[in-house]
Amino acid sequence: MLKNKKIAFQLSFFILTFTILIFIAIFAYDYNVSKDFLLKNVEINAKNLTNSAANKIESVLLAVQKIPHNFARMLENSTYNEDELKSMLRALVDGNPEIYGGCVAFEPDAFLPGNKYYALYSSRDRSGEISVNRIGGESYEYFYMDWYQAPRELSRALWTEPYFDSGAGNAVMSTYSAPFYHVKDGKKVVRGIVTVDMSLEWLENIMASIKIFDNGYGFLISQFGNIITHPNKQWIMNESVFSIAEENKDKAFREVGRRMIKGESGFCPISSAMLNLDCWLYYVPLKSSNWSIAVLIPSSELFDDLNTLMNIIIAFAVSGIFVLFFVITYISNKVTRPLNELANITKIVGAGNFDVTLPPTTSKDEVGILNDSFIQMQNALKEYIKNFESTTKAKEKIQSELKIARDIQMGIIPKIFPPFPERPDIDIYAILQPAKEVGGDLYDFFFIDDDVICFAVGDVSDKGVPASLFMAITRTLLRAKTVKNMKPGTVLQSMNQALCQDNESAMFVTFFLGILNLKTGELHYANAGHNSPFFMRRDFKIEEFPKPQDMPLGIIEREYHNYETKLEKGDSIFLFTDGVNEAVAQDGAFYGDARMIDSISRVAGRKPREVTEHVLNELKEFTRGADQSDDITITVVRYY
Amino acid sequence: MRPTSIIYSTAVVLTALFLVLLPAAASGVAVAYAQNASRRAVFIPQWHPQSQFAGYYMAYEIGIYKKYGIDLEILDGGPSAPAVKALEEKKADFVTLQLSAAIERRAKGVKLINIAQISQRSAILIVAKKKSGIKEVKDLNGKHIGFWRTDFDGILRTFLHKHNLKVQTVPINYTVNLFLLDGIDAMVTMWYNEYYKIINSGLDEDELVKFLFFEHDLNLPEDGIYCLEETYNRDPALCRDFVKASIEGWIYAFAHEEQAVEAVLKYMNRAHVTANKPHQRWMLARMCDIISPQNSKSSIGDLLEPDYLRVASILSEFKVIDSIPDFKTFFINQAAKDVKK
Repeated sequence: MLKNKKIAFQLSFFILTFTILIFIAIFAYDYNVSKDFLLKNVEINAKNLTNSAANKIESVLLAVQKIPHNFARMLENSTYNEDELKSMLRALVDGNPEIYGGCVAFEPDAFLPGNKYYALYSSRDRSGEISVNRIGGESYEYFYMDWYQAPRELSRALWTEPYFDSGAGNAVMSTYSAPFYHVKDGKKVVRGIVTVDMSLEWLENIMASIKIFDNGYGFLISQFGNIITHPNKQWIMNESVFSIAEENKDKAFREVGRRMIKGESGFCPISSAMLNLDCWLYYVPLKSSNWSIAVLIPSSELFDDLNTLMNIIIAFAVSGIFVLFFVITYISNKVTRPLNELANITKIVGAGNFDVTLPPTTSKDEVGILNDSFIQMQNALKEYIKNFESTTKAKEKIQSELKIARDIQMGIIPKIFPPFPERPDIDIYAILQPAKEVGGDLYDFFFIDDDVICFAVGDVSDKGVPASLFMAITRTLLRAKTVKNMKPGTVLQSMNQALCQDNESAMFVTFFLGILNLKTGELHYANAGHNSPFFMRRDFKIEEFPKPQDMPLGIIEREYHNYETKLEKGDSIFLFTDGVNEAVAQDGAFYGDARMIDSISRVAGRKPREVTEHVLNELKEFTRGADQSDDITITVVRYY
Repeated sequence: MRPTSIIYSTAVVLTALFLVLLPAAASGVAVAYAQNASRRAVFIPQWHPQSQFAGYYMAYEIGIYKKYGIDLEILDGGPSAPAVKALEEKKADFVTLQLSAAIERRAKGVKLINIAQISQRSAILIVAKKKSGIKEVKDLNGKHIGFWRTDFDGILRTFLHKHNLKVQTVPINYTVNLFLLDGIDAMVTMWYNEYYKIINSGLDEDELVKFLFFEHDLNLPEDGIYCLEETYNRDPALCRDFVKASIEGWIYAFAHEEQAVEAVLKYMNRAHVTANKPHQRWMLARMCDIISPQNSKSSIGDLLEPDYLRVASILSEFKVIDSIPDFKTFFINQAAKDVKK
């Protein structure tokens, strides 16, 4: 399809396509590398921010954790009465402004025998006043509260799941509970639990300090995934990462949440659950509380600068491609304009107008060279056509002269058959087909007196005009030298003598001459190097004339032998030139004597015309399609 | 079938039922409205606002009670405001109660009656972590199972006895934290509530195994609507209208899940209880499962005597009650009949 388009289009199409592909490849590579680089930096940044916040939180939590631990150790190491315990608890709250309240709770009967419930709770009210109260009873069975039951069942200190405390001003609180032990019946068993309550409001300040890009923020989740801090206050203690994931049908976010509460850390892309945007999330665990702290960065902001840069690059690239398009179109038009003109002129030249002028070109590029070459070709063509016209004229003249020569040549041999319709004792038929316009073969026959007929067949050593002239001379000599009662050998000798004189072209002619006495049937003949004729006997036998032969005429002066034989009535003589037996078929095979003898044997006894035409037809059949290589002459003489 | 589609099909069935009875009841209702315009009543559910009571909130929100001529006030329930106490002290006209709790109070002399048994199935189940090696009921043997210390433990004991299980029971409060902290292997939960809290704390359902009591031949209907006998005797039409309006509220809630969940969340926020939408949506879907279960002999409002006797005999067996109250005086099924008429 493209092949049919103009060069300008093809050039633009291929160059622009490949340029765009290369650009896309480079752009994609660059974008990904930059993105990875940016992500790595952001990860480090997020990691630093998160770890710094985590460290701040951990330092506070760890400091707070020490308070109940120390208190528990004291309880394990000494015995205190109720008043001492109360003042110790008051001092605990008083001395640690970061905590809201503290509690020491005993197992049934573990502090005061007979008291199933014994627990003291100290807290700071809004005015800062610290009170210590005894809690526990049927209405508050603290044994089943998480802050008591979990550390007791698990025999380890822990932070309880954060909770809303309306008494503490609707603050999110968490309690750190540490068990303390005593030895009972030889076994170390839990004697009670010491707790401190802590408002988690301070966490919000630390988390609010995490700012990354415009809308990136940090949030904190509990060990069960509940939101402890988040810019969306509505979510705190209402939602968990899992409920947010469920609400948004975001299974990937749930998986991230599971990893967070398992205490893993990571940096991963998440879709829409929290911001309704694609984000990156970095999270680390808080070891002390099993909580997890995370930073969320909207991808759009993360890649804002990169995207801006890439947009600029794309804009440049698109403009560049447009410029490239115009440049390519301009250059290809510049290149193809002279080509188009050349093509149009070629059409005109092709139509025969050689005089049309090509536009001048000064450029030396390929188009310039083509233009010059075309001008040369145009000039050469002009010259050629001119020569061609004159040559054609000359050739036409020669052709016409040759035609005249042929007519003359054909005019000097007898062409009227039957030649002697008034004579019942003789019939002759002959044809001569020159290979060229004119030929070197000849045949002739004429009566010397009323009863003697002379007949001859000859073949000049060449073809064409020179041969035809030589043939004309030979025929004239035959007529001139043939005298009554002269032997054929003598005739040939006389002809030879004439031909040998001034024969500078060294041409020669093979020649058979027969003189038949129609009364007696006696045949005198001489053969100057010509193919031996065949007798076609009345009994259908084919016999070759006896050899040897004498030399062709025109070579050297010498004597020619006379031979004598007798024809019976009904016998024929088949004379021919080598254009018959040496005819060549298309495949290079010779017609040969055997085929010729076979051909004449099948028409033995027929009239000379029939014999001649039959042999000629079979010859044509054999050489069909091949050029005639030599003149063909057949003469058949029948004696009645 | 997915919860939403169950809700949807239930809603369709119930709506069809209502459409059938509506022409028959219309004239009577219209007369009743005219006679008892703006009858005041107070209702308190047995727990904090949540989708467990979505039908009542929905009926209130879209004015179904008003349509029936009831000027209703809904109080917030919860541990600090026990419904049965409000009923006894006549601070509320209508309450919802668990069937077992109601039978116990009735046996102990409180003249309360069931005017519609809303839930038809038990939502109680034992949930366990597969990692504790529990796959079948028998695997619970020897395990620590948490149960709510304030609730009647006879149902759990009946289940354990039925399956010949010897376990370590750990009384706990209404949180799932000890279970999540691996302090216990399994715990008794409500399908619509704590079970989802566990999922909502990061445990996947395929990490858990649950034994729903109703699937283990221990179907015990739960929430029903109760009032005092004297309230019913004084104004039976009010009681019947309350039931009808409430059932209509449930039908509407199941058909308009999102709207119902939004309404419930509004009440939850007002009561300052932790609330999130997926949990309430889950709860509403499970309420649909237990209020209108597939292939059930009973339908909303019904209390079948065998179900009643099953619950009562467990209470009796565990000496919670001395004698089983008479079913016919306990359950006044006029309202349910009205619905079915």
